Amino acid sequence: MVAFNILVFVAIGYVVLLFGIAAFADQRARRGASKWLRSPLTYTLSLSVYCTAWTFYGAVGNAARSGLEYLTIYLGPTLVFLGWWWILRKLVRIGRAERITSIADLISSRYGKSTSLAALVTVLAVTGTTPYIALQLQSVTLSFAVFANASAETAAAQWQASDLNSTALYVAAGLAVFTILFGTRNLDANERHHGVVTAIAIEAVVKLVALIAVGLFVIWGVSGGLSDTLQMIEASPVANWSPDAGRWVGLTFLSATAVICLPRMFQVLVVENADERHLAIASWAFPLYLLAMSLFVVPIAVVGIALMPDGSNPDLFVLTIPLALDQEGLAVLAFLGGFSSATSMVIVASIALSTMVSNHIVIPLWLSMRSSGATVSGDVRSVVIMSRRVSIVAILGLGYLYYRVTGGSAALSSIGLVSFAGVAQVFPALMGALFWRGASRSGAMAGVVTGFVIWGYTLFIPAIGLLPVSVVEFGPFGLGFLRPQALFGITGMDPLVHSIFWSMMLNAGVFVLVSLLSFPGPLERLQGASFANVFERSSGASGWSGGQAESEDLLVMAQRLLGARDAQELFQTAAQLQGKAGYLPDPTPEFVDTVERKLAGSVGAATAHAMVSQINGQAAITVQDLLAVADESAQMLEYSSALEAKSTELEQTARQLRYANEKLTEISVQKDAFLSQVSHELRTPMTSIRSFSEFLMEGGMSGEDRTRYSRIIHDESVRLTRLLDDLLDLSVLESGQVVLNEQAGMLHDLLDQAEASAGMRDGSPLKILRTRSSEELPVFTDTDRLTQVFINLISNAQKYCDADQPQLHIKTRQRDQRIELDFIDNGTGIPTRQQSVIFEKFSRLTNTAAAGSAGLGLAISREIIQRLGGSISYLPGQGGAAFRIELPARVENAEFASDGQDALADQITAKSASA
Amino acid sequence: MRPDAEPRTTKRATGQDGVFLERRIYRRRRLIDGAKLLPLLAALMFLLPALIAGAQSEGGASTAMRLVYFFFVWFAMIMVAATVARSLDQSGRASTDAETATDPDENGSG
Repeated sequence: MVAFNILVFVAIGYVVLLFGIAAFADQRARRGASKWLRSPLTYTLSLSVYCTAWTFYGAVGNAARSGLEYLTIYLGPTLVFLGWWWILRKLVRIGRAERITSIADLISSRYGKSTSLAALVTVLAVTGTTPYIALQLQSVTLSFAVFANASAETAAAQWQASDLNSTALYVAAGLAVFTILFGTRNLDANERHHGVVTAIAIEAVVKLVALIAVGLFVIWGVSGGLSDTLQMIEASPVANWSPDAGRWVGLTFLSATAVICLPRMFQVLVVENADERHLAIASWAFPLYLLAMSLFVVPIAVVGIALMPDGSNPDLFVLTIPLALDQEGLAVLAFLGGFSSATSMVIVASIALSTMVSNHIVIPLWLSMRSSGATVSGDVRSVVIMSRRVSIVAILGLGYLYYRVTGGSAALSSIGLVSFAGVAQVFPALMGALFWRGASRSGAMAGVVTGFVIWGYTLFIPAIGLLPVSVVEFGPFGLGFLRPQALFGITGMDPLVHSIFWSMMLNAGVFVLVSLLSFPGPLERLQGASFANVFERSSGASGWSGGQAESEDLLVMAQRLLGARDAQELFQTAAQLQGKAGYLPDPTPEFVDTVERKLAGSVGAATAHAMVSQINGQAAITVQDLLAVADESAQMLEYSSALEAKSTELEQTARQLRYANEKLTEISVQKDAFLSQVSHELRTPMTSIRSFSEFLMEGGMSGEDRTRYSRIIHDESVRLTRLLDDLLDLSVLESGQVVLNEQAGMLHDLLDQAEASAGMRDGSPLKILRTRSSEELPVFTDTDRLTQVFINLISNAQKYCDADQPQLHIKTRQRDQRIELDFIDNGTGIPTRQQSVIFEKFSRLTNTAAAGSAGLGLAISREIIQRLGGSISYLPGQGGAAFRIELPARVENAEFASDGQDALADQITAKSASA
Repeated sequence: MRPDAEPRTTKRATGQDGVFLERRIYRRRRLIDGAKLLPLLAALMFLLPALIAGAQSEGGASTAMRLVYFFFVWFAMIMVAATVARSLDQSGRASTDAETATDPDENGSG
C-alpha cells in the first residue's frame, strides 16, 4: 500500500512542479520567447478546464448510475466546437476587439456598459460556481481519504470528518496562493496569463494520461481485451439503461450552453485566446480531447461494478480499482489526474470570478464611495490588484464554506448539472448580444433575473436541500401550480429537465419581449451595432462626442491604472498619429475611445466608461449626436451625389469643348488652305490677264490673235468677277442683309431650271434621276435663290462624283409641313472626318482634282437655305455624297393662316437673328 | 458613422458583393457553408438514437452497440471538422489579400 505520507509528498511535489512550470512560463513570456506558449496545442489543452474532477471521477459514477447519459456532457461542447463558425468565432473576435475581461464584462459592454447588469451576471456566476468549487474541494479531499483509509491499519486510523475538513482547507489555501501568484501578476486582465495557462495545459495532459492509463489497464489488464469488455458491458447493470429523450436533449443543450457561459470556459476560450486561428484548430482538437476523456468511462464503470464490493462509491472507481488490484503507481497517477482536474478548474474559475467581482462589484462600489470619483490621487492599480486578490481569497473561502455547510454530502455530486443550469441563464442575453441588435439592456436584465429566479426556485434551492419538503410536494402556501418541480401543474418531467425548460423558456421569452418593448439608449445601440457587425467594422463609432476632457487629466488617470510607462507610451503613440510631438494628443472622440478601451482591459467596460465620463464631463454620446451623425452622413451622401452629377455635367461640357476645338482647328487649317487657294485662284487669271495684255501692248499681231487674247482676258476677268461675286454674295448672306424676293413656284420647274443652268444638256456624263410625280409641289419662296442652291448641288455632283457612270438621284417628298429633297450621287461620298466641315466657308475637299470653284458653294447654299427657313445637311450612309434639304411647305397668301405656320415664321425669324 | 444604418448598404458600396465570384472565393464560401452545417448534422446524429430509442421502449440496440455507434460518429465528425478547419485556414490565408475590407464570410448565408 502507498503510504499516505508518500502520497502527500507526491502531491506536494506535483504542486511545486506546477509552480515551477508556471513561473518558468511567465518568465519566458516576459522575455518575449513565448512562441510555444501561444501554440494552438496549449490553447486546446487549456480548454480542458471544462473537464473537472466532477467529470474525471464523476463521469464513471454517472455511467455506473445512468448508463450512457454521461456522454451528453461531452457531446454538447462537441457540437458547439464543431459549430465554431457560428458562435465561438464571433465571440472570440468581439472579445479581442472590445478587450473583454469576462463574460459579465461582455454582457455589460454590449448592453450599454451597464454596471448593474455586470454586477447581476457576476452574482449569478458566483452563485453558480461556488458549489462547483466546493465540489472540487470535496473530490480532492475524498481522493486523499481513499488513500488514507486504504493505508490505515486500524479502524481508529480511518479518516474522520475533521481530517477531511482540514484537507479541504489546505487545498483551498494552496490554490488561493497559486492563483494570487500567477493570476494577478498583471493588472490588464485582458493580457494572457501565460504561467497559469501553461500549468493548466500540463494538467490537461496529466488527467488525460491518467484516465487513459486506467482505462487501458481495465480493458487489457482486468477484463482481458476489447470484445470481452463489450460483453461485460452487455452483462452489467449499465446495459439496462435506456435513453430518456428529454434528459438526453436537455443535458446536451445544457452542456452546450455551459461550455460557452461558464466563467472559467469564457476565460480560457475568449480572454486567454492569443490568436483567432487557434480556435479553428481547437474546433476539432478539443472534441478529440473530450472523446479521449470519455472513451474508457463505461469500461471503468462496468469493471468497477463487477469488481468492487456492493455499496462502494462509483464516483471513486478510477482510484479504487487500481488500489484494489494493487496497482499503486497507477493509483497515484489517477490521483494526480483527479487532483489536476480539480485544481485547474478552481484556479481558472477563481481568476475569472475574481476579475468579475473586482471589476463589477468592488471597484464600482469603491469609486462611488469616494466623492472625488475617478480623479483619485495615488496608484489605483494597487487597489484593483488588491481587490482582485481579496476576491480570490473570498471566492475560495466561499467554496470552502459551502463545502463545510453542505457537509460533503451526496447533495454535492448532483451540483455539477445544477451549476451548469445556473450559468446557462446568461445564454439568451449572450446570444442576443452576439446576433440581435435589437436586444436591449432592460430585456437582458429582465431575462437574466427571471431565469435566475426560476433556476434558484426549481433547482438550486431544492438541490441543496434548503426547501421544506412540504413546499416541494404541495407548493408554497399549498399553491399546487407553484410546486418547484412541477410548475404550472406540468408533472412527470425530470426535475432537471423541468427546470431547464422553464427557466430557459421564460428567460428567453421575457428577454425578447422586454427587448421588443423597450427603447435602448444611444450607447447600447452603438455597442449593439458594433457587436452584431463585428466582422464588418471598418472604423468603430466612437462613444464620445466632443467633451471637455483635457488630455492631461486623461493621462493622469491612465497612469494610475496602467502604470506610468504604459500610459505614456499609449499617449505618445496617439500624439504621433495625430502628428503632434510630446505626450499629449488632442482629446478627440477617437482618442478618448482608445483610452477607454485600454482601461476596459483592466477594470472592465462599465467602470472604464464611468471613469472616463467623469473626466470627459459626461459627454457620452446622446441620441441627438447619433441623429446628427446620421444626418451628416445623409448630407454627405447627398453632397457626393450632387458632386457626381456635376462631374458628369463637366465631362459633357469638356467633351463639347473638345469637339469644338477640333472643329476650330480644322477650320483654321482650312482657312489657311483656302487663303492660299484664293490667292492662287486670283493669281492664275491675273497672271494670264497681265501677260496677254502685255502681248496686246507690244502690238504687231494679227487681228485674229488680238481677238483671241482679248477674249482670254475677258474670260479671265469674268472668272475673277465670279469669284469676287461669290465672296460678296456670301458676306451679304452672312451679314443678314439679303433681301428675299419671295414668289410662288412649282418645285419641278425650279429643278428643271437648275438642271438646265448646270449645263446638263451639254452632253454632261452625269445622269440625273428624278421622279417627276413627286415633284408636283407648290412652293412660296425666293425661287431664284433656291434654284441657285440646286444648281450648286448638281454641279458639285458633276465635278466631284467619281463614279464611272455618274448618277445623281433627286428624291422629293413632303412630310407634314416640310418638303425634303435628297441629292444623292453614286460616288465615293465624303469622308466622315470632313462631313462636319463641308458647309463651312472656304471648305474644299483636298483630294479632289476638280478645282473649279473656290469651295464657297455649299457655304452659300447653307446660308440661303437658312434664310429660306429650311436646313441643309449631309446625309451619311447613302452610298455616295448625299445632301438633304428641308424646306417649309408654304403656299402663297396662306403663310400666316395657321398656328403651325406662325411657328414656322417665328423659326425663320429666329434663325435669321441667330445667323 | 452609422448608428442604425443597414450594414448591407456599406457592403454594396464597396462593390465586393458581386454575383459571380472567383473560383477560389466561391470554394471558400461553400467551405464555410459546410462548416456551418456540420454541427447540425452532428446534432442529428447524436440526438437521433436517443429519440428513436425513447419512442420504442423495448428491443432497441444494445448499450454496447450504442456506445460503439456514438464513438464512431463522434470520431468521424472530428475528422471532417479537422479537414474543414484545415482547408478554411488555407483558403483564408490565400484570400486575405483578395477580400480585405468586408468580411466575405458573412456575405454568404450569415
